[in-house]
Amino acid sequence: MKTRTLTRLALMTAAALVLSYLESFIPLPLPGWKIGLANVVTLLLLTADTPPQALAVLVARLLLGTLFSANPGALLYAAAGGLLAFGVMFVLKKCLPGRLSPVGLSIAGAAAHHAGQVGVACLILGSTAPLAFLPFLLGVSLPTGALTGALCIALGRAVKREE
Amino acid sequence: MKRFFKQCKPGDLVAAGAVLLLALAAALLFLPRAAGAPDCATVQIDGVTVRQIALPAEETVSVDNGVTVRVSGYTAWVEESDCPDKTCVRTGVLSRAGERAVCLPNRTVLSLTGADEAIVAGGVR
Repeated sequence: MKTRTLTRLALMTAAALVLSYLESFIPLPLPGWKIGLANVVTLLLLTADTPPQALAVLVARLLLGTLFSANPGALLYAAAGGLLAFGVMFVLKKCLPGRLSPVGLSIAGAAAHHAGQVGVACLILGSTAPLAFLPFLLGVSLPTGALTGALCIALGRAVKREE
Repeated sequence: MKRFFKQCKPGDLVAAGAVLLLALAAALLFLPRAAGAPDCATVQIDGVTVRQIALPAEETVSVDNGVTVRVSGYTAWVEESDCPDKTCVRTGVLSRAGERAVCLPNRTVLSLTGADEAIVAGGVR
């Protein structure tokens, strides 16, 4: 791998980690949701047509984020949500090329992320109780997905200028 | 702002609409209906029922995984928990049958059951 690519990926991973950390300070009025700002990085790499890089940064961000946070148990949920979201966004981008902008991709990704987390929660708890959170979380994925997608569009232009 | 909307595509609305429909379907399927007064508060860990309290009651239950549940009258809530995010505590007071508070790190579910809503003892697999 070229040094330049390696450096860029390292920077992206760091950026994603910082975003996760910063958004943990935003007070959450309602249980269980977050804006998912770190996904802007995943989106940027996906829309740059480099899905393997997006996946690499995602996995790195998940592992490092767990190390840095006080909550190792959260890795399972974050991984389930993050990987499912990546999978959905990747498939959508491949199968419907040009039909979805980062906003649509992001909304679908956010919904998949929450669905993955609820699914894992049901498996771990051995109960269907977490499903009650699903309607609310899916609804929330609309504005959060749109916001992350918008940030991706805005930043995408800035990143291009740096090239 | 307008430049942003120019970037969006019609597919985005379809995606948003699909997610919205899924949310509504999930609401119909998974949200507890307006049920009668609850008659029992249940605490489950890993899907196994560890405490069942018939309502009305006044009790404080300290489960040994770090979660404290309060029952008062026909309501119940998670008073405190040693989990990092405290989502369970912030769920607030449960007052209707079918409502639940979930603590993922402690793998604990507090739920109210009533005549119309039944949770199979031992959890649902």
